[in-house]
Amino acid sequence: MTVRPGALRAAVEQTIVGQRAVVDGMLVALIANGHVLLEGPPGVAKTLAARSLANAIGGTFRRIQFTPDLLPSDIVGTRIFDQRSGEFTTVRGPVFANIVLADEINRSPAKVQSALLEGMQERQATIGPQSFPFPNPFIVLATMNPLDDDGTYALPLAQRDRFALNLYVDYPSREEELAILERFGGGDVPLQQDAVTLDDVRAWRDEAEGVHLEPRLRGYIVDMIRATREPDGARGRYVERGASPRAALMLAHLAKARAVLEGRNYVLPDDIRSLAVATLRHRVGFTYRVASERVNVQELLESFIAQVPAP
Amino acid sequence: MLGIFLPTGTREFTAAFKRLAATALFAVTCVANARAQSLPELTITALSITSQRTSVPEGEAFHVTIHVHATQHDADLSSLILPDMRNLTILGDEKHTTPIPKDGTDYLEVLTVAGVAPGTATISPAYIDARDPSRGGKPFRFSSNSVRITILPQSSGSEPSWEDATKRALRIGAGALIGAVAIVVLGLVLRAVGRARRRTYVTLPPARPVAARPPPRAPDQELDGIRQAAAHLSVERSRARAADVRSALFAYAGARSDETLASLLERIPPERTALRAALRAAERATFVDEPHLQGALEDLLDAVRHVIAA
Repeated sequence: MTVRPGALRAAVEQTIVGQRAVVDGMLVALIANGHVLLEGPPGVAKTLAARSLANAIGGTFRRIQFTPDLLPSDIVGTRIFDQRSGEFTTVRGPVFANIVLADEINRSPAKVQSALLEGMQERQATIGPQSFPFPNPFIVLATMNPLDDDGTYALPLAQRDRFALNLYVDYPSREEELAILERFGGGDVPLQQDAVTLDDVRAWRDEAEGVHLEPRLRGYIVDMIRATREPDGARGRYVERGASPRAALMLAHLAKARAVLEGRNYVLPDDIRSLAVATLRHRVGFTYRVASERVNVQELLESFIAQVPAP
Repeated sequence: MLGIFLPTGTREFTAAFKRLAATALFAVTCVANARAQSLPELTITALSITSQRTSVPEGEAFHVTIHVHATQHDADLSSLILPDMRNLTILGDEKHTTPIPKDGTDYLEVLTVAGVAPGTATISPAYIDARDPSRGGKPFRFSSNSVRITILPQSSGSEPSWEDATKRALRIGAGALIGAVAIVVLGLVLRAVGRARRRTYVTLPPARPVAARPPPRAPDQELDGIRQAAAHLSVERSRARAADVRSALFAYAGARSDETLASLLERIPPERTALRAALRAAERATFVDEPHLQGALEDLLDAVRHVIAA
């Protein structure tokens, strides 16, 4: 019998205090077969969240620390000549895992980023003459620190589009921080092991395919995406490029996954609304004014969404 | 190069000095050109300083407004140099940049200032350095006017003398008398002019009855909306009718047009269990898949009955 996604949520929340939106976002991406870009200041449990998810689903977990001198072969793998057998043998890179944590993805140049991002899209990697499929499920959780811009290589908009969600991991509240101290103040953070299996995850994915999405909710999604492309005067100064139709497809897909997470076989407007900002944040091209006038992107996107009447 | 700095005679010294001067002039020109290239491209059509008051008691706050208008849309006016203020202290600074469609950019900076000591306070011109595209991109310094303000000593706050009070009352009385006479004379003149004119009559169109604004809907009326929608649903068990009931319930609960169930439930007190359950049932009946629709509609009707009964 398939274990429900709620069990996985409970297991991750044993380690991650608070951050319900981040935990749910990761689980939704896992069910929707999408990848997640985690942004936030250092020390807010971005890496821990990824590790706890990997442990809880009982899959393989690899962490790749992106640095300026990293090479594509360090990620994908390489071919080594074996002198004894006189043949080349393939050594697979760390990307061949169920959950890959790409830590500080913007610390490496575009060539290295592309090696990972192409794999994310194709779900396979080519080493020498041969292509190797990634394990199923395969999910990349990439982290970025938005505060340190020095020595970083910004991800282009087209590459950011490969991520299903862009989750912002904020500082915890005072109560949550007290709970963190109380729970983990003594030493190592315990990780919940094998709360669900990889077969459970695959079953949820099949379930999400069959989730019912009412036509009026499709209209709600499309109107929301179009609101980013046709902003009014005040908001128009901040938007250079609106979200693409791929964003609409992804939002529909993610909403279905959230319905599965909540134990439903139909999508509600709340599913769409709760995922809209994280789906759009990295897909909307903002003008320089957003940075120069220190506009809060979250609030800006919320204002776009608020323009659209709920169904 | 060594010859430039080590001349041997007067003529050589003069020639070396000229070369040195030319080199220095060239270097200065290069630096000036480089600086000019870094200036923003602006065509300033207005740059002025206005003061709210021309004379003001010491310590009393008043506003000084700097207005800049550039013909470029979304112009960068950050290089505006604020004026020097003598005998004034700045208490506040507020900036507004307004891009005007087809009419460039308007920039308004309002400084809240106060006089430091009795005497004269001066505000030197504000200026902005820019390359003017309308004048071939040459660097220009656009300057505003200067302003002079009289700072009065603070009033002592002591009681005025009896003589001063009498003089003041007499002055006010005389002024009032002159004003009254002037009004009477003006009234007589206007009356005479009006009589001289021929009277004309205009036939006005009949007045239309004014449509009364519908009174705000009372909660009972909102409840009627739910009753009506539920009655339609009980006759026609369809998703569209369920959506009508949902809309009526959302209106009854005071939902905004962009609001979804989760945020609405956050605002509804937990003790209103019937309404909360009905909203959830309506949400399910509106969006559930087809095989489960009829069961969801039954649940919704049941939940609505509880709301009406409550």
